[in-house]
Amino acid sequence: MVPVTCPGTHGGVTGPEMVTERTPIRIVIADESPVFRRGVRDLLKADPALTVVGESTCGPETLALAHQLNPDILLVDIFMRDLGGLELLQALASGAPETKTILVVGAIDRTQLIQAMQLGIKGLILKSADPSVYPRAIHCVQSGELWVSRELLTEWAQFNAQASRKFELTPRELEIITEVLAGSSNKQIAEKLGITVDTVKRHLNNIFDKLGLSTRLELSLFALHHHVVN
Amino acid sequence: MAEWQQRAERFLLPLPLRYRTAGDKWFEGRTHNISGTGLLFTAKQELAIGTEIELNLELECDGNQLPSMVSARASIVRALPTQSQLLLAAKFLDNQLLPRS
Repeated sequence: MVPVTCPGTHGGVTGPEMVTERTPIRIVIADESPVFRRGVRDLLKADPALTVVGESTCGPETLALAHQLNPDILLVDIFMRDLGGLELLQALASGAPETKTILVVGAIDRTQLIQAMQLGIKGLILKSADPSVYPRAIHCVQSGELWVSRELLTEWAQFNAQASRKFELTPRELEIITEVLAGSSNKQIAEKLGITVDTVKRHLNNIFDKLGLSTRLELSLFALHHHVVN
Repeated sequence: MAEWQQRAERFLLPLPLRYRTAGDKWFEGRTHNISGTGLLFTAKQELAIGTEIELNLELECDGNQLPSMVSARASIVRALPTQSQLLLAAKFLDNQLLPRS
């Protein structure tokens, strides 16, 4: 997927106007630093459309609050000592799927960024960013967009493009994978692409061999996990 | 499993699903991780080891629904109660990738 950010200094891709919410956007802040939590809380107070409903300082507390309060947005630095890291994101993804997570971090390396993206984060703010970013990012994510600090936008955009190149899949093989993900049978794929069923089977065998897989289910899960197709 | 057989790769994909035992109503859950041979998922109630369930698994990417789903039968192999949720592990008995109706 091509990331889209709200209008502003980040990303440069236009998105929808910010919409005033009828009910305030409910936010939980998870960070070990009381100074940081207070600073963000005070910052968000200026916007009547935003309300902080909880704060937490460690992973288990964050998860418990997410279950209990079902916030719209979770601002979290998962890389702080007690915040649980990527395991927290995994638990949130399965235990609090409606909550949109925005990572707020001092730094993040490429591997961590890709893993966090695969676990479904909706935004990423570097702690060095201007404070005015926070309310904008929250509104953007709540309206269904993604928010990424400019410094990381290139990594984010390249993520999908590189996935297919990494596995040396041909354009035809990517077409076949797309059709498998759509639930199409070999016959349906052959008709759609104007090739024979035997050719479809040959392509699938090549794909399975390249990726070390053996079933359509495995192929679908692999393709979703690695963002092989858009 | 024979020694030479590699364990199927597990994917950290939080996919929504519905499950039920024979004759029961559907319950909703979400995968914690999933492979070509089984899955770990959040559940509403504990099920005995060996219980067979019917599963409908939604495929989605970045929050967008795909035009297909997985219909499967599975057998419960383990229950993992944690502090905040119940996780059940199940192995697939069979599975099918179908267009979403």
